Amino acid sequence: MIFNFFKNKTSKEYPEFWKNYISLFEEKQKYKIPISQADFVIIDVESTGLDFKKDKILSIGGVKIKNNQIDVSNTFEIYLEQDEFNPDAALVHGILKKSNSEKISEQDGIIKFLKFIKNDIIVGHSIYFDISIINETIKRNGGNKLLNKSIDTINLYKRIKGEDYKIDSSVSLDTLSEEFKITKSDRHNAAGDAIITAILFMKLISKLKKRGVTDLESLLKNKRTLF
Amino acid sequence: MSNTIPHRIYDFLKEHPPFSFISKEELLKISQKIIIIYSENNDVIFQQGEKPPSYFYVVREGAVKLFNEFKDEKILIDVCDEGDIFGIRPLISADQPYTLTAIVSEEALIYKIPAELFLEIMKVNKNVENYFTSSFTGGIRNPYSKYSKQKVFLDSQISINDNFNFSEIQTIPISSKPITCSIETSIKNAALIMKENKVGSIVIVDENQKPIGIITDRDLRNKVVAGDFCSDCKIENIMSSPVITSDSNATVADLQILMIKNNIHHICITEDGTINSRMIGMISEHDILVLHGNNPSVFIREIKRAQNSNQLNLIRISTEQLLKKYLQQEISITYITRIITEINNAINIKAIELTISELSKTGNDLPNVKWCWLALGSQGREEQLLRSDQDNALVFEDAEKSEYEKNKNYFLQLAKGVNDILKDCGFDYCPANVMASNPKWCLSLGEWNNQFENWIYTPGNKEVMYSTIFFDFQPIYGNFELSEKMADNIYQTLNNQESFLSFLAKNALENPPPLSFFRDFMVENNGEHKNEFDIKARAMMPLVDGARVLTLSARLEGINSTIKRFNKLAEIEPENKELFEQLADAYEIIIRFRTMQGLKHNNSGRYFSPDELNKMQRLMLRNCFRPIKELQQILTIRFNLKMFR
Repeated sequence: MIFNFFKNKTSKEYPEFWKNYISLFEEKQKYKIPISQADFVIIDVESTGLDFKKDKILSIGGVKIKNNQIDVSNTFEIYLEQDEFNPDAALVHGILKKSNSEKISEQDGIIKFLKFIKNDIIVGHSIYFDISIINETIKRNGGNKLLNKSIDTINLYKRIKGEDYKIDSSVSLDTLSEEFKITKSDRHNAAGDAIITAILFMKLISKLKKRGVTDLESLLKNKRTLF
Repeated sequence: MSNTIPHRIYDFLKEHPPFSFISKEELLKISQKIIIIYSENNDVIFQQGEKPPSYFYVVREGAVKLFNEFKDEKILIDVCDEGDIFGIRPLISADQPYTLTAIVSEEALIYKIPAELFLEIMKVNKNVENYFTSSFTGGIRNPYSKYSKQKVFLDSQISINDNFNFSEIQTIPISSKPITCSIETSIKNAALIMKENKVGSIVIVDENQKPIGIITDRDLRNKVVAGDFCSDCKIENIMSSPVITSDSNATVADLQILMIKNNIHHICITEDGTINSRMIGMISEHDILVLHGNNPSVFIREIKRAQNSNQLNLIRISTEQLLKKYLQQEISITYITRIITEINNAINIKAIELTISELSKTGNDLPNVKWCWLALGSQGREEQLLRSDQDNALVFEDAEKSEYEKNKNYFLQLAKGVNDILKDCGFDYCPANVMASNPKWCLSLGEWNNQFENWIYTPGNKEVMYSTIFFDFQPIYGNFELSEKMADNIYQTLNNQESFLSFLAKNALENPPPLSFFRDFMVENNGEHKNEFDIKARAMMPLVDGARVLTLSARLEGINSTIKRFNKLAEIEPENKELFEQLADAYEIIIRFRTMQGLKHNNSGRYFSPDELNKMQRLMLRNCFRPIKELQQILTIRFNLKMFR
């Protein structure tokens, strides 16, 4: 297990928040459970650009799904202080460097984020990028890579469409929202995209369920290798 | 910390009642506590008999069907779509089980709303409370909100304003001190008092200040200057007596109707409203005109002065403006229909008078027999607001055969003239030719009685259909005794042939109301969809027909309007009071809605597409359908209609 790999390092090297986070993975994760009993956290990251090595996170939004329900009182939305600022990305996300949203430091943001996601299964649209940039950010702040299992909604979509169906691997959330008739909103930001992704995810697993994908293990099994 | 998601929920909820009545701050608080659920087709949200949880539901997307399960039968009660609330049991009585089962019929996103938070708001927000207690029915019957039904069909945004008012239901301020004189006064002196006080009328009072008579400028002009009386004569000779009186609580509407009915321009206000108490003021038509310009009695006067159909048509067009204004001012339909009926009737009368004088110019004089012009259908029920097709008939005294031919010939010519004038005034010819100019509907009293007896004794489809048109007759002009005799005959015949009413009742069930609107479609009981909703056939006719048969069955003579019929039925059947009052309300809502649609699209307002409606309008109409269903159930039981199937 990856977990053991980390355990070999002396815990002194890591800050408290990271130790707390990895402690959640000490117990063996259960995957032979119905999908409805699994805890999912759906996230979306807005950043200064698309180079996860260089660019910085501006905002993270997240919602949790269990048993096809989203509890609005337990949703996540943070904005981070960043010196780097890429005007092109700001146009897309509408997050201006000096906007009105209350901003917190990168480290505080990461601490809050890890507390929020716990050991849930991370779900996102093109999740590879989001997880990569989050990993870079955590490392920069004394931690390491995320330990959560993850699911990409693009891959779920491909499973539904079948292998023969040619899908652009960068099929956008907007395109899928349209196909699955999910009401979009003009608020284009991380939290807004997270909830759209969450609804998309619920619709996708409902379709997969009809094909016999009913437990978490089989939902994760067909996952393409991301790392 | 997280704001985007609650804001999105807020953006959605604020568009839908009752959330639209909640302040932004409070609604945002609710939005933060919501749980969003995703459900697939056939998912059961809750089951009848289950104990409710601590929240209720709003459909965000998709559709949920509510069923009543009885033995093995599942009866569809309602379909909820975007913005609809359901499962409100926790808001009414948390310890009572659900009375319905909710099943997802179209992949749905549903918001669960904590009841506790909402109940707090209901306690202090009257509009929200009203919404639940009065206009929302969760399987239990509730009276409508008297308050919102008039507001709901306005084009302007629904705004809730506690102090709405309109001049027609205000009592009139009685400021002018009445100018009076004693019965001993001479005409000349009375005229001098009037001149001194710059008034157009003077009231003659006795020693106790009780009004005895009234003199107006017109009396002086017609009876003195151009008439037979000298100015030294006693005032008694020219005064109009008795005076028409009212009390100080009378509304402008009451006074207007009083003036129209009596063809007068002044009303005495006395302490108890009769001529037997002290006079305290005087209201003239002018006072009312000052209070609000566009005035129905002005129209009536104009109609009386009209010389041809062109002028009548112009007045009727202005009446439509008045109608629009009234609807926008949310004046009660009962008042509006009374005014518009008076105006329509005045046009009928004028058309008759014009034709009589036209005929006599060619030496064709009115025969010396009793006769009466009858309005049928919606005009007969005193609920014709828009200019729909004309339905009318004529009755005349029985006579010897030779006389009969002559009379009938004359009345057919008269009717043709009247029908033509009414056509010029925008009342189209009846497509089924139910008009007095049709020899079939221009009959002597004896013939009418035979006709009605035939319909009642041998009720085929055609006979029943005619009955529904003709039994709502109302005398408009001529000798009203004849129409009373016709009514008496109908009731007598019914006493011998009660089973006829079952045929009428069965006819009233021909068009069941829909359950609800669903998106652009109507949800029919049989699941059949249509693109346009026929509000006349699907909602008005069941009410009109139901009210008629119940009124006939209860032998309530002389009550023609559907609303009045239901109100009267509520009085005489206390056990069904609530339902009948709801039916009267439902009819009012529907007639208001149809009239607004008609004025908006410049047509009869009969057909419209449900997607034109906003949420509140749909809800109001849907709430009208429920009592109609119950009415039809009552008819089925009371007239033993199961046998007919």
